[in-house]
Amino acid sequence: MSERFDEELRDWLTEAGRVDTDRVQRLASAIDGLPARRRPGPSGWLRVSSLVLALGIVSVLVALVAVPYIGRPGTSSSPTPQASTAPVTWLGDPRYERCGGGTGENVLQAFPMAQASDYRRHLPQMGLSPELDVSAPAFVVIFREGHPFPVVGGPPRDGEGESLVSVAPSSGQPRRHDLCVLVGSEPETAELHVYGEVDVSGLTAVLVAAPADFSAVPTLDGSLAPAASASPGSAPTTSPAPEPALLTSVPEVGRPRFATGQVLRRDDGSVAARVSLLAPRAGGRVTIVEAWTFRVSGPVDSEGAYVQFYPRPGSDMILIRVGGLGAFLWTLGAPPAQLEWPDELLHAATLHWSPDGRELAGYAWRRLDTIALWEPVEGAVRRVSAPELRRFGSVIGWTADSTQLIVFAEPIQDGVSSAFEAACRQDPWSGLVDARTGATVPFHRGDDFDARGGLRGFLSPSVASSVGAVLSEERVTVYADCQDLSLGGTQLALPGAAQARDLRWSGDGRTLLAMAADGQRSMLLRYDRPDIEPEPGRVMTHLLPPDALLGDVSAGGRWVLVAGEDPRCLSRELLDTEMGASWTLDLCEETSALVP
Amino acid sequence: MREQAKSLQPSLVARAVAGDREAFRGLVEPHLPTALGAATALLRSPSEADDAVQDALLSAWLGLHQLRRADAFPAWFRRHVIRSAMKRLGQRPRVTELDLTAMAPVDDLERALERRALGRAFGRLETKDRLILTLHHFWSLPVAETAGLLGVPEGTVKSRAHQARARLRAAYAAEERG
Repeated sequence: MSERFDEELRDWLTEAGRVDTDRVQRLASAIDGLPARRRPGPSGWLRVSSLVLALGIVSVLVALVAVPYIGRPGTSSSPTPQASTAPVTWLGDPRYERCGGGTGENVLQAFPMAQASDYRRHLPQMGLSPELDVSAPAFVVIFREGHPFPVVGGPPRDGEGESLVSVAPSSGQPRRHDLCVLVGSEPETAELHVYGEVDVSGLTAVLVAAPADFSAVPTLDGSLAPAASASPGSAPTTSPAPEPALLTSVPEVGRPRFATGQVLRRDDGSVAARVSLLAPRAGGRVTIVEAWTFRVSGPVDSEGAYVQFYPRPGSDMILIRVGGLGAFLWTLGAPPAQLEWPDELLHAATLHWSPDGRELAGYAWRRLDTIALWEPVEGAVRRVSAPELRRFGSVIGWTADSTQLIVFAEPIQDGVSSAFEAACRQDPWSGLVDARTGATVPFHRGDDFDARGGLRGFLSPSVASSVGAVLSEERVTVYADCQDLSLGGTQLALPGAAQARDLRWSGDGRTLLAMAADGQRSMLLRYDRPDIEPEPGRVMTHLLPPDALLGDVSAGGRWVLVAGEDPRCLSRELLDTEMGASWTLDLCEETSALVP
Repeated sequence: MREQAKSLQPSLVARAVAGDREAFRGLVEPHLPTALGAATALLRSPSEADDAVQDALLSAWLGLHQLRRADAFPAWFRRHVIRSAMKRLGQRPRVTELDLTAMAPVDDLERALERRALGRAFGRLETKDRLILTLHHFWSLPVAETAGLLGVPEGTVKSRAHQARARLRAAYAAEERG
């Protein structure tokens, strides 16, 4: 009965939705009438990340782009950085995003209207548009269409701190542009209207205040900035070191930025280092968002000076470890604050943030059966010991709920590119360790656990036939035996004779990144979760040298750091898995400049 | 053939993003009949369906740079169509138009009446019920994609579809009684 009803329904829908060819062709012909679109090509990455680039870049771009165009009231040639309709002011604004403002390179003007019906005032030549004759607030984006937009100064509006700018055409010809009007107070539900070839002659736009302080951002386009300031008790050092040690990381807040560190100078009693926050720009260029130089005194680690970064999950905070001597907590945008490095973690090779960003885990100094857990903000250190830890464990991860540590047997690193690959070749001991009690639970085949927070690719066939991540209502399983991968029950194909070498989840658990290799080259593969993304599939985003190693993955899975080992020096690449772009950081360069 | 069309998508998307209307046509044309059909079934008005799909074409064209993966274009375009149709549904008063498409030969009168009753019952449903039934029974979308479109878990899709079908049956029974 039910099946018959379903069949009836399907038949009826098919009939109700039947369309004739003429109708389809009529609609297809409407494509010819679509307004011209002009998209900023290589800088498309900035579109999604516009929220991300935040005040620093916005400020600089406003300073450099908006100022020449916008006149101080009454003086058309003087810059007025306090007021702007320049698109960059709206980067990150959801209304601007919905209208397709993107990076702003194709946006002529963007401005809000107190009510949609004001369009008659702002765009007097637009013609009547009844759908805009409503009192709801609205937002307008006018697209550039490649024509420069002449702007002349206008009188300020009294008492509101806003200005009206008159935009006059440079000739008597109408200036026609495509524009978007979003009507409604809620960006998500506001009505989107797009108009093509609108005459914007006589446009008046309400200006809003732009960030006034541009001085915080030191420079643009690649050259290293002088350190903005020194950290406590330190003196800036500028001479390049003969053996620069540079390490990079991507903050786990999903921002496409490099944190780079370089040891500038070391002697028996101190290490001078510089850390920089860099953001990739279009055309392979890089913006320095901020940079700090500092010196740490004390006995230098016998293994040499180094800088390590541990971006704190879900925050703008990075823990910097310098030369085994000390640590700094760097809240982006503020000077790094020095911390006392706990004795328990004196020689810990690496540390691992809990997904909740509360504490870091690392093997305790000279205690193979102990993991030290450090809360750097509060300075507290505690230890978790278990006899089993002596048997297994060198690689530490966390479960996503931050309650348990995932510990894997130490892989043999000789000739092996990653712990994942090593785990494929062995039969290591692995298990869970309760971060409070130290109670251990060894893994068995078939075990499931939430893998996102700590798995970081260290899967092994002996760990479990299915290693799962529990997300919302469903369970996603990952199975890896070096030849096969499956995700959510869907087999994930690997290209040709390639074998998976490493896996990483994005922080949001929606994307799995895999590094595969076939002996000749490495391939970065991206799998969007088939139960979330429409038409899931493998996307090979980059072909890389055979020795490429998978590094950090940003929270949203778009940005990936990859390391390559060259006999002479270490290099890093920041990859955009959506646009296919990459930025290379050549650490052999003394200046540490990024090259496209 | 389908595989070939799929393999062409990345280059078509790249060209369309650069402003090539012909490439955009190549991308959307294969999907127009089903897009129109779904919009028509959903809106119960061919003219409104035409407008909805035209809006979807425009928004897809202007938003093409936001497409994350070329091979996801069909699903992405469906999303635009659904959004556009839903927007129109939300804007208009709930009316059930005369179902001229249900006119049938006299020798199949009983079946024609059944279809008409089903059409009227469908028109009485809430928007969300119509949508999920259209996605499932007309577009035959997998549960996973429907979940992605609606932004709800798969389990919710299944339960909503079940409830929508139950309400349609009830409405249909009422139509037949009345």
